[in-house]
Amino acid sequence: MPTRNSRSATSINEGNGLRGTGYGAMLQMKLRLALVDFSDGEAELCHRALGRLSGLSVDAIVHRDHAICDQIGARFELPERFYSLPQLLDSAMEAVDAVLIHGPRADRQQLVRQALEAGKHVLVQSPWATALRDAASLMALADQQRRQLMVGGVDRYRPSVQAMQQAARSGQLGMPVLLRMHDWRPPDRSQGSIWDRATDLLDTACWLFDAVPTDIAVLGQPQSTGAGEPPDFLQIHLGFPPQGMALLSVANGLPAGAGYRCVTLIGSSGAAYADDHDQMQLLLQGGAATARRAGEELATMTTQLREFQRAVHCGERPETKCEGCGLAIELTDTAMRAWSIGQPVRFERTGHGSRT
Amino acid sequence: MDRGPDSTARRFRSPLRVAALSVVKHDYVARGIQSHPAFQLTVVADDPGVPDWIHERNQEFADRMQIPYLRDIERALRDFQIDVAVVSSEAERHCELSIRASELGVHVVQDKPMSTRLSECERLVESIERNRVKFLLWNRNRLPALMQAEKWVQDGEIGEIRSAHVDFYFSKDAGPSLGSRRPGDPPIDWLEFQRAAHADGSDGAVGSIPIGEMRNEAIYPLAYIRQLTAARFERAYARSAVAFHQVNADNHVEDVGTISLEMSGGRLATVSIGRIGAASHPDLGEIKISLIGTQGALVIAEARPEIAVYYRGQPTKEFRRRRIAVENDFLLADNFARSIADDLPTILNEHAAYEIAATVEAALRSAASNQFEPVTSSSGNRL
Repeated sequence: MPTRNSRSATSINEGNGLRGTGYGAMLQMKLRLALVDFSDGEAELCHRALGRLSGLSVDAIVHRDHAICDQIGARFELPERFYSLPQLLDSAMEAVDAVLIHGPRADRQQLVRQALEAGKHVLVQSPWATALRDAASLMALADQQRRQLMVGGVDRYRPSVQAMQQAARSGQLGMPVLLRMHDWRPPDRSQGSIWDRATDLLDTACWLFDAVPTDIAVLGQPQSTGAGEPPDFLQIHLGFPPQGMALLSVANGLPAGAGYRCVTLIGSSGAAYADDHDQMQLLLQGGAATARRAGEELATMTTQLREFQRAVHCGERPETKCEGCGLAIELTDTAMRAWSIGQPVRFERTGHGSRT
Repeated sequence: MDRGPDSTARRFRSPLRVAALSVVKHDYVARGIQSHPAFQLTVVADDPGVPDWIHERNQEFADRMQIPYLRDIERALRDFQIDVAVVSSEAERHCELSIRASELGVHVVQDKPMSTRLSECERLVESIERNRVKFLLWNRNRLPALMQAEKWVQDGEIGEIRSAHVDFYFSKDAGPSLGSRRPGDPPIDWLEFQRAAHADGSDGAVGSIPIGEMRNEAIYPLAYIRQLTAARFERAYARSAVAFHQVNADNHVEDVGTISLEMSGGRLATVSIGRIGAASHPDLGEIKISLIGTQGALVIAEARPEIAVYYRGQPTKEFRRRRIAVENDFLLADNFARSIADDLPTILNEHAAYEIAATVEAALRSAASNQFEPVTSSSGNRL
């Protein structure tokens, strides 16, 4: 039976947040985390990121697979291991202040609700909601509980994309004209369907353009395994007012291994390029040289955790708050319609979109 | 020289005698052909009634190459027993000059774009076929990176190609930036501007008819895709804009665009293209080809292999990176020589060039209609 965490820590839930009390005070307050359904790789990344941050600790591990749970628990030297979130909340409710939710996409929404109802702050991996009304309902719950609900695992926390956005927002690039993005990956069911990836790209596109597209055209390819299969490749063509444009390509069909990402933002007076192709290091082991990407995953995880910590301590909405994700969900609804009819669709924001 | 539409077997002599028909734009096409020992640049020719500035450029090139310049195209082709015509005139005259050469049984190498009008392309295709001469639209498909990509694809390294994506950004400026025209100033005259740009070689769209980046440059990325996929373009959706250059705005032609394409066999493709300004890239521009296959993917930088050179006092406009091992000109000329000798299709023959021209027209129609447009002939029939 898991035991309650006995470590001493000043809980963030003991106060009403630390708005205006400064970074130093923030670091002195310990934000205790539970990792829910992290893979071993994700947990390792989180472990390394926490080594760079003060004021955050992992105090509970939750995983439906006992072996993985034990493995991750050993990594964090934690005896407190739980096999479901309700088990943690029932038996060690006070052990953690916040819950970081990964795991199967289909379960995330329910896990978010359980955590919020228990009064925990939540950082949930995208994709987490597929309908605006579900997202709105959980956001209202977070407000009611006075807890933060933040969406993680999105491109906005990648250092390369952040640097690009800063260049755009500072005016260095002039008015955004053309955005080109590729996001190609091997099949990964836990990451959701290809439309979920499209949602993240659409979110990033709007963020970089700082605008909402007006026109969407989509072409897709079915999986090569058989007719009637959902697409495993999409190319999404956007028109932004007054005359901006974007081409986004999403692939879920690469062979197992590394993926490929590329973002190019061309403005009226400059351009920014973030391409995996330009970030390759060479590994020579005999035979052909192997290219290995200079990773930004650790920095991405660190940035994301820091933003979550800031939002919780300062009582301010995080950069990727739930409302902001609603636009991307609506855009994805429209993109799916454009794909199904094979024609461009005019996008008009309603705030009532739903996607199943 | 074996002339006339009735000849079926052409004698191959070496070197083949080459006439440059108008050299108002790029002289690199003529020089590219000349780089191969199978060809001998013999004469420059043009029509007598062209403006003086064209005569001056033709004469200058002829003097440099130490060959004669004749103000009579047909006489030059006949009297100098020409086998091959290299056409690098204003874009709107491309097809007309090529057809006149073809009608005299002369093989044709032509600069891009194929034409400013699709109907002219159709006339040219008909003439080339009827006269059984060879046609090559100059292109970049023999750059080292493209050849490497082609080999990997042919070797099955990524399986069957499912989609192809090309970024093709030239970072050259094209005169004053957008918005620089003061109230009361006249719009920039296209031809005058292009003529003035000849000094730095950025007059690729010279002519009386303004042409945007899609008509002027999309031949390159579309030729890459066609070469690598061996598929035909069927439907296009495009967006375009004037975002960088006043001369484009004043003449109502785009300087940036994006194209989504459906191809035969269910393949897909995208092209993003633009003359994005010198400030936006330290070298020629970002040019990349990305392919997804059934068993993998490929990402290719068109510029590689290259070296970087930096030095004190380096002119700001000088590229820091220099392409190396480039034999595109020679290899295109070699391909053309072999196609003549062995009666084979050229690497970008009249049919491929026409399909690309029709695809560009479909993209331009789409940019105006905001709808997918089929790739069709000038009369609206699907290719």
